[in-house]
Amino acid sequence: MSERRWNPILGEWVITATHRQDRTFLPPRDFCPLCPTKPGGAPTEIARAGFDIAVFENRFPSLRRDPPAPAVAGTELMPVAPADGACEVVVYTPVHDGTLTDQPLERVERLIAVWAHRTLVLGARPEVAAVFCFENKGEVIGVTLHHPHGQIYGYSWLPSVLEREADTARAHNHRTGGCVWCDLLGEEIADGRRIVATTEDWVAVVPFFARWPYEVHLIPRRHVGWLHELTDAEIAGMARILRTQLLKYDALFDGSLPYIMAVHQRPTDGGDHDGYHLHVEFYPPNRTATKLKFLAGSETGAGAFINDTYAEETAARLRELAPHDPSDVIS
Amino acid sequence: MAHRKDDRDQPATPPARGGETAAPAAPTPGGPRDFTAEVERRADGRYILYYAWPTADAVSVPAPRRTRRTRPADR
Repeated sequence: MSERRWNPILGEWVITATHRQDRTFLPPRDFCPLCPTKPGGAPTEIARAGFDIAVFENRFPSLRRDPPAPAVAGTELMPVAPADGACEVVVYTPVHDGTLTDQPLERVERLIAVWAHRTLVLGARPEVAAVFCFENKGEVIGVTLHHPHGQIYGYSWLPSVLEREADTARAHNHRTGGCVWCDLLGEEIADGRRIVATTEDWVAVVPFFARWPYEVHLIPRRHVGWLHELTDAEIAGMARILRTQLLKYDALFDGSLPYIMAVHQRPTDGGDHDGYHLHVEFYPPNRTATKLKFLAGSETGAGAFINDTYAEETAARLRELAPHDPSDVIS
Repeated sequence: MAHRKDDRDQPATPPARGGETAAPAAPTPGGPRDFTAEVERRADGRYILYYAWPTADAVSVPAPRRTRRTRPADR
């Protein structure tokens, strides 16, 4: 039903989760499993209405604590392992309609506090090596429920992207004594062409090496590894720049822009990760209002991204869109 | 701050697996960390946490039996 299979060619784990084929897929509004249960109505995942944000274990998890034994036997070359870890669903609001973009600043701040809390809890589990908060938005990304929500995974190993980031951060730290994100941020701020927005504590930037046309990274100016290390002022700044970016995205093509939002935090495996720097990455698939970028031959087959745009130009376009400054976002 | 490795639904200071430490910032009254999180267990064993803030305008619903409340002081 669910297990990890080792790819000895790429040196990475692949999760198989066959039960997810049966998960709820784009139900009618009246049958939304993320809406609070209505009096006399069919039970949903949310038994009550009196909450701001809810977090629950996914009914169709890719990873779980106490997972079942693998369905197949592995070999020494291609081992198989239980899919241990955590899969949580984060319901942003009891209200069905809307997106994260529509949530007021205060709720975004609270969502960040919830992410931080879950990072503390899941990161303390002995089997969890990395806590990954993310959101898939839009049917083209693969969303199966429209109610505003995100997810949190607790991996029992370091997935490839996080492992590569951790490895390069460690190597940079050992070579220079510094942080690759702090150094990158210094260069981006000095250059200025790819900066989208700034606050006292945060910077939004289309990175020099962007793989997606409108990829944006949110990076705190202070070197911190986990969300729970942020001060209240830094949480407020994060909420403000995040909401600014979301509003800019929806203004980009005059509609609700699909995206993947990935919160990258320092691993919780107890390794040498002092050089790892908290940040948020956005990958919207649109390259125009009507055209999507697909992960095709070069990207999927060879691992070489081809970006049809210049980061300097997409950053300029995003910069020109309202809100022009995060301080303009008042609620 | 409580640090209970054996209580999987309660907060602790990560990472429990290694020697690094990073104390969470203390919650400020009325701030985003000043929340309560009520934990319930479903019949199938899954947990759900209901987060609420003192100034929340959410509809108040009596807490069901067999819930556990986590106050900021416990975090």
